[in-house]
Amino acid sequence: MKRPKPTLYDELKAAISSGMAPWPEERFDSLAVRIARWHYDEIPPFRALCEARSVDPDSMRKWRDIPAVPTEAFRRFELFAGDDPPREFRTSGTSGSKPGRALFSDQGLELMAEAIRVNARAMLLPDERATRILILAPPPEAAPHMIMAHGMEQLRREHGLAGSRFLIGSEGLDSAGLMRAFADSEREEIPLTLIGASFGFVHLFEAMAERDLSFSLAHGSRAMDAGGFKGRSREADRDELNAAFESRLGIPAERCVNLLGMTEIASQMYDNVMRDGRPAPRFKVNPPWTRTEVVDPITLDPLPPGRPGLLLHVDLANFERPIVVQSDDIGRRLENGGFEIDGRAKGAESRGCSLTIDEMLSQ
Amino acid sequence: MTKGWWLPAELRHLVDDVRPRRHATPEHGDFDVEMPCITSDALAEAARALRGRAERELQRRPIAEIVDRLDETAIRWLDPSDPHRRTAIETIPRITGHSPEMVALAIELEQRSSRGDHLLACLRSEVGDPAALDRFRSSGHLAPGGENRAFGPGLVGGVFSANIPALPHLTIMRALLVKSACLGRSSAGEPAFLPLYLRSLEEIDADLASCLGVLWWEREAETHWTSFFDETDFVVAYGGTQAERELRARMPAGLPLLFHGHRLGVSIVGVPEDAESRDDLAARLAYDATVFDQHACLSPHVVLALGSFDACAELGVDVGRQMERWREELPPRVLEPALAAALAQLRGVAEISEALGSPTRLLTPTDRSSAWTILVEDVDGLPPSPLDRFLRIVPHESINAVLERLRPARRWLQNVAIELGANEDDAAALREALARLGATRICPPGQMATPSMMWHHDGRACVGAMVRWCDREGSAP
Repeated sequence: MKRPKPTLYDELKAAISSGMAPWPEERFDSLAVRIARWHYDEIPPFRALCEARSVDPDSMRKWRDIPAVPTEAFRRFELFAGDDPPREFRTSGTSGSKPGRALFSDQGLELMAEAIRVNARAMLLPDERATRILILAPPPEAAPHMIMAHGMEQLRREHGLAGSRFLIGSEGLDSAGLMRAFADSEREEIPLTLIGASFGFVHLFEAMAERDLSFSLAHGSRAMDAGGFKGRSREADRDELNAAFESRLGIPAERCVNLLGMTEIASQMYDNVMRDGRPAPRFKVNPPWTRTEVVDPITLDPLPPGRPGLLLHVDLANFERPIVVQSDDIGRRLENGGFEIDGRAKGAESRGCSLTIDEMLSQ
Repeated sequence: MTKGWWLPAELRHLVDDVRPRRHATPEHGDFDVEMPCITSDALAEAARALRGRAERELQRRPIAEIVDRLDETAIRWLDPSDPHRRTAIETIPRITGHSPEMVALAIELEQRSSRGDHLLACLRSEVGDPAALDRFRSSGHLAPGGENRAFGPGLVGGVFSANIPALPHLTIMRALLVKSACLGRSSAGEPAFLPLYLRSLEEIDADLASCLGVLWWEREAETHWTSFFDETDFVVAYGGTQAERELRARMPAGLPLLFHGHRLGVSIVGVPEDAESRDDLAARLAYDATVFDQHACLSPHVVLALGSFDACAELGVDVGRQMERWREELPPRVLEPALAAALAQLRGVAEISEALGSPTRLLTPTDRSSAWTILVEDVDGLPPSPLDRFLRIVPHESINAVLERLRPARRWLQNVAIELGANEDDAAALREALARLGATRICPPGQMATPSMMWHHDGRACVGAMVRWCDREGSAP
């Protein structure tokens, strides 16, 4: 049996489409367990992991019984329960190592699209204001394996006013076009939604600062940045980036959302600020078909609020791929139930003359 | 508050202010170390003052006397009741996360090889007659009547790293061995040891200590680096690739640099057939991967074993048992979450591979703690060890296969422990091949972490390299 009973997919899709209201825990567990049992039959490395942890389909009763698959396993194994021929997305990957692969059937892509739609409406476009969407990334045709470009294209297509477009081409960022678009927004009072990688915005604002450029974008403009700041203090850089959005473009902090997305899962977690309409407190929100736990990296036991631990994601929209995924991101749970991400490289700073062979050989 | 800097009393006014720098370890939480605030002008002034002191203090002293003072300092540090040693053992764990037992062992090992006879042997090996540092001495290598005289740089600039607790005094000792002043920039990652070492030297001989200092400034503080390099005559630096790149970009042309960068240690062993020999070997392999929590440039990343996968798996079980023993005696670092997360990724993938029937055997403590990991694996290339007692054992059919695996890493090859057992006849040829490839030290398993002062660190004469000679030649032959 290559395909689960159609009812599981349909049931899941209907549940995701129903919106952002919290799900009863039983519904989440029931769907999670049925998907994981199907994966047990269809994804040999997942089955192997279950066996190594003495877990079998019958002993999986709640999502917490499902073994977490490390993101590294997406580099090493094929983890896919869907139909061929699949669409493939890849992680960026460090030099010399194989990229991680996430495979999607048409059905899987449809499910991801629904998850993106419901989540973005609530977290990025809660005011239902039509905006022109400018994307500081290469378009999907230029980056067919980049899952972020795929998701951004969907937002552009479904929500963007005329003139919405990708701004990174073969020559790099079209800065002149971007500055014109900023000026147009100011003049025509058409609000913008800016989307791009976090460090891409950092570079943009550095370049604007050098030329002392600033704009006052139309009211209703907003920004969404994804990813992090390599190896540096995340909090300081986050405040700096938000300050630059305000001073260079006139976008206040409560309209700047950061997005956590990974190739290995189909759903994303947005900052709460746009939804809540205030700049603080800032934290990540799980859509109801996902869970994020902050766990001890070794025991995988949940940690109390405030303690740094690794982020373990459960994403039912990852339907055809393992739904419980152990990342190597570090974050903390907040008292209010949300979570935040710490810098990734904090513990792995310079270790003097005995760094990893990986680093040596990648030179 | 624990100090992360030290200057001789008469120069301390050059530091305008101090501020705490916070360190956090999973076990001890937050811990503040006092770091200096100093202007780049004051830094230059301190450097000039130290060089001036050395011209007056060090040049007039016989080298034997300087060695004696360093010997006395080592003896103090080897005394378990010494207050500075005790402070180091209390504070360094709160900064780096190493266990107090491990810091104590590091002090033992490093100070044992800092004794006077070791220092003199090092001078003889790298400089020849140590008295050439005091006066013109006749030299058998020159024509009859010829004499020579050796000088160290006026001021050695040290740039330190944090990977091994209690090691950075090595640069200070090497500078004093050629009668040079030394001004170091401490590592923000472990700034506490050197100030303690300098305090004990000051108590033994304040004049000697008055030629030394250790300060700190931000990595991006360009004007500080400019002052530092303008005033130093020779730079000795430790660090990673990025640090080396930044340093070289900032240094003026012509300023000599001895850079101690990334290095790779490995063990090459034949797997003994009898259980007793295997266990004995396992104990020493485990010890090598335990000392300094594997952070030294000499530490082994991987055991390249001659034997079948099954034989390696048996060896792995023995090494794991010995790791458990060392875990009791020398408790490991409690890993920061990011490092533990990286370890969990490697373990998770190995667990899946093993369950899929691939030639992989993952061994961890029964409580699955991060204390140690042995991964017996038939892999391609030289996959990374995340360190902190993570040791791979990789099976090989022949010594040639071992050498082929090491070839791409030849630039980084440092320390190789060899014990071939049944293949012992091949050892001489293997040593020759490894030396040609780039290894700078060969030793038996169990001794990887204990080099002598006579070892050519990174294959270089680190003391000899700092010396400038003046030869007085006799009449033309």
